[in-house]
Parts: sequence; structure tokens; C-alpha cells
Amino acid sequence: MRDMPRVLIVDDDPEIVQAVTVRLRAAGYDVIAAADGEQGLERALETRPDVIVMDLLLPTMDGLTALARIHAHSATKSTPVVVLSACSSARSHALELGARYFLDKPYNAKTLLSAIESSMAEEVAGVERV
Amino acid sequence: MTAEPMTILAVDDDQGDAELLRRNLEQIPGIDLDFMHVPTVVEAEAALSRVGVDLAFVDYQLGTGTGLDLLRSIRASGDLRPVICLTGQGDEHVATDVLRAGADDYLIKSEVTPEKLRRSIETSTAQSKQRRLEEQNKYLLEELKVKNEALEKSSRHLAEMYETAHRFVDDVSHEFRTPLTVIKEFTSIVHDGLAGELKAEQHEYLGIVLNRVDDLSALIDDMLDISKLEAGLFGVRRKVCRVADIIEHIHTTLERKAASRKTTLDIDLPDDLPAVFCDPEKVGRVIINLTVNAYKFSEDRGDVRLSVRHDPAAAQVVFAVTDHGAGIHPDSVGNLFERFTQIGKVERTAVKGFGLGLNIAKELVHLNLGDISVESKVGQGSTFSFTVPTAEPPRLIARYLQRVRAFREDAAFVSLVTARVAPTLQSETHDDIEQFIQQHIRRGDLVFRTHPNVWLLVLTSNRRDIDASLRRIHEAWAEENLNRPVAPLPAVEFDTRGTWALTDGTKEFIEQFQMECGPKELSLA
Repeated sequence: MRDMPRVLIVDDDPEIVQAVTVRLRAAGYDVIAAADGEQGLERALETRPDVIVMDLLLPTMDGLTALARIHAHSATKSTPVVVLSACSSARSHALELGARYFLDKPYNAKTLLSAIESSMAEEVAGVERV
Repeated sequence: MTAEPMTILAVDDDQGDAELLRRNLEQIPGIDLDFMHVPTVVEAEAALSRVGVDLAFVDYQLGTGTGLDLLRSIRASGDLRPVICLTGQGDEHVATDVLRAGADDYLIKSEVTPEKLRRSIETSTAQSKQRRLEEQNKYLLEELKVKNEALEKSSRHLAEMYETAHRFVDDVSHEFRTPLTVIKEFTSIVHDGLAGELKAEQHEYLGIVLNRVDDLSALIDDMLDISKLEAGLFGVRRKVCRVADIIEHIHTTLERKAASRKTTLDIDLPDDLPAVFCDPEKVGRVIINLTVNAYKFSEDRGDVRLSVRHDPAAAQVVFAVTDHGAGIHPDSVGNLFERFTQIGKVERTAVKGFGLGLNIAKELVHLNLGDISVESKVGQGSTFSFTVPTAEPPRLIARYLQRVRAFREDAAFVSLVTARVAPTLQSETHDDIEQFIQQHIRRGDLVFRTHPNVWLLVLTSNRRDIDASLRRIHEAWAEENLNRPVAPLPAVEFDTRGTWALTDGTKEFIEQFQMECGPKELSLA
């Protein structure tokens, strides 16, 4: 693992990206961002983040498709994805598709941080994805 | 023969034949005859359209055109009156033609007698009446069809509007959440000192903003829940569960919300409570809604208390949330659980935001076959209580029937159906199956797990025949498996044990239910 764990945030709302970035940097993460699903997939392959925080309603490629594509790729197949979305109705679908956690917007910063932390810990411990 | 006066039209180009017919007719006993004679098709048509003719005799051989043409033109105009065709000797072969063209009967002129005429008039009139009835029925059917189509159209329209309204709530809630996320997180970043050090006062004020943002997002959740409750989309998963587990599950939330309101929650939970039958998540929601309300009420006025007790006489567990707040005026108690109720008078200034939470609580309690109530004294505080049935099948089913009778006007019959899968399957598969069944029955119906691999379904319906409902579940089962290529749901066998009318058959129903379920308490899954 790198010195600073890397988080990729995929969200088309620049202010949400900014807010998450400020929060995660303060908590010691290296943060990179993508504004749509396709870019998210590209950046995931290119930068190999430790965790991906993903919105669902995204331009070019929606978050669930991006999630499936990321997990279909050998290089990123075990990268944990935390979904951060305002569509709570997509919860079970996202979890079925392999999202590690589903957090509702508006989110609680503490919950987001602990979701990221524990999905990395599970990854290190080699927890099987359901 | 009929005593009513009868107008008969004879269409015959032979004056003598017409006269002979008149004489024969006049000899029918009891006839009150009004006889008219016309020699041509044109005059016949004019007479039929003008005068109140009850029956026509048409000669097959007419000078200009045949009786057949006249018949056809009569029937083509929609005229259903009785017509008898007269034919000369040797014209018998035309009988089929004239009957097909719409004549009610045909007579050979030379064989006509008053008795034959009487019989022919009688059958022809009867046939004509029958025709008229059929025509009327056809018309009524057509009208019904049109009305039905109109109804279907407006019902479709309503359904669409309903659907649009719900989608609107969904969309709006999504649109609200995104800016709220930005507001909440930036406030929270500043509040947490990530953008520079804050004075204590600034920190406190931002804390207030954050609390209100949480209230607003809870309100959005409530709006969505109401929308789902109304649409019947709020799935219920009632099962046997422990009260301690329900409270344990929401404990952190309760504590956090208490801390943010600067109050504490005192929980009184006896350890000998019986198992209850409910959807634990929904009961948790009710407890949260009631305690959050209580926190709001009791600012600076002491703790909030959540107590649970067993009420064996009514086979239920009673949850009570008590605050020491301003209390509610007796006049306001009645419609407290209705949507968008605001408390009037003095108390209103003390407490706001009462609306949706209590209405949702009431709906969720009813979904779990319980009741909700409030006791309050102005200046002393309030206690909101709700009940949840214990997991005792006979008592539970009696409560259920009472509910169905009181609230479900559409339910006339109750059926018992067992659903059975192979006993060797893994328990996760059983859970999947149970969840599936719960999702696909109506939310007013019940499912009990009587054995690890057997469920007992209590289904209500407005029809005695529940095959359609079962077929729907079967179809959904197949459809579900299309989406589960990896771990398909195993084959399930539904067996209808009986159907009883809710009006008089419930004794037998309860007996059968007890036989299927066993007399003892249902066990925890």
C-alpha cells in the first residue's frame, strides 16, 4: 500500500467532489476525482485507487454500470466501491452488484470515513465479496 | 288471441286475395282488427313508415318487385315488426328465401284458415318480440362496452396520475438531497474546524444549522415513506422476533439523536418479554419517530423514557415513550395522528414539525396489527404508546381477522395455503424464499414459518377462488429466477388447505389454522 491511501471520487457535482475531497484530505487520504462514469472507469484503471466513492446518476455511464465494469476488470476487480447516492431506492441493487457500502446523501462525514476505512481493512484482510 | 287492437297491413296486388285474408282474419276469435290493404311495394313502405302497423302480410308475387324485395328493405331499415309471407300454390320453394330475408313465417294462400292465421300471428309476434329484446340487449351491451372502455380509460388515467405523483415525490426528494448534501458537508467541514479554527459561539451556531439540515433530510425520508405507504409499495416483513433485538438495532441512532437534542433516553426493558410477531424494522422506525418527537418536546425538561411491558390479557407488548414536555391540549389529541396536523394554541409555539412522523408511525403500527395512542397533560408531558402482537398464533389470528373485518371491505374470503420447498436447502435460501413470498403477497396478508421449509400463508380475497393469486406468485417466481441465473429459487409447492367466507366460516378457518400451525408459540427463525 502507498503511504497515503488513495480514494477516487466519482460525482458529477463539483461541489460534492470538493466537499468530499476536503474531508478526505483532512483525514489523510490522497484524493482524485472523476466527473462521469466513463472517466471514473478510466481513472480507476489508471490510478489504481484503494477505494472508490461512486455516485449513481452520472453522465456518459451511470454509476452501477461503472461499478460493474470496474469489477469486471482484472486490475480493479477487488477495489472496494462505496456508493454515495441520493437514490435510496437503488440500495439493494447496488449492493447486489458488489458495492461494499451504500450511503445515502446527505451523508454523515463520520459514516463515510468509517465506510472507507473498513472497506480498505476488509480488502487487506481478504474478505470475500458476496 | 290478444285483446289489444291490432293493425294489420296486407300487401297484395290482388284485391280479391286481400279481401279473402281480411275475412279469414276477422274469423279469429277475440281479435280486434284494424285492417289495411295496399297493392304495391312503394305504398307498403309508405304505410309502414306512417301508420302504427303491428304486423304485415306480404304477398310473394307483387306486380312491381317481389315480396322478397320488400322484406329485405323492411329489415334493412331496422324494422323488427312481424312479417308473414303469403305464397301461391307451387311457390313453396321460396319458403327458405323469404325466411332468410326476415319473414317470421310463410303461409300458402290456398291453405289459409283462421286457425292457421291465429297460430302464425302468435308465433310471428313472439319472434318479433324476441328480436326486439335481442336488439335491445345488443344495444345495451354495446353501451356497456363503451362505458366500460371509458371507465378503463379514466382508471388508466388515474393510475398514470398516481404514478406521476409518486415519481414526482421520488424525483423531488432526489433533487432536495443533492443541495442538502453540499450544505450539510460544507457546514460540517467548517464546524469541525477543517477550514480554520472557530470561536465557541460559531461552532455552536453551525451545530444548530447541522441539526436543522438533519431534520430536513428526515422530512424528505418521511415524504418518501408516505408516498410508498399510499401506493402500497411499503413491503412488510413480519416475523417472530425479540423486542431486545429491535431496540438493540436502533440503540445507536436513539442515543445519537438524544445527544444532539441535549437530552438522554432512559430505556426500561424487562428481560422476560415474550417474542413478538412484527416487521422489526418498521417497529424500530416507530420507536425512532416517537422518541425523536419526545426529544423535541422535552428540551430542558428532563429525560425521555422508553418502556416496554407485556400485556398477556391482550396478547401484546406495549411500547411507551414518555416526555416531560409541554403536553398536548385534549382538543388536539384526536387528530394528532392525521397527516399535516399542527398543534394549536399555546403549545404550538413550543413544538413544531409534528406532522408526518406520527402519521407514518400510525400506518406502520397498523401494518403490524397494532394500535397507537397518546395520553397527555398540558404542562406535564405526554406518553405515546403502541402495541405489537405477541407471537401466539391463535391470538394473533383472532386479532388479524378482527382487523380484516374492520378495515378491509374488499376481503370476503380467507384462504390457508402452505408453501413447501425441499427440506435439504440451506437456511439462506429459506430466507430468500420467505422474503420473496412476503414481497408477493398483499401487505394485508400473513405468512408464518411453521417448519424450516414450510410456510403457512393466510390470504384474503374478494373471491372464493384464489388460484389467480397463486398463479401470480408462481409467475413472479419464474420471473425472479430469470434474474437469478446463479442461485435460482428452488421449486415450491403451494397447497390450498381451504377457503372460508369471512362472514360465517371463521370458526372452521381458525381450527384449520391451528392444525397447520400447531398450538404452541411460533419460534424465532
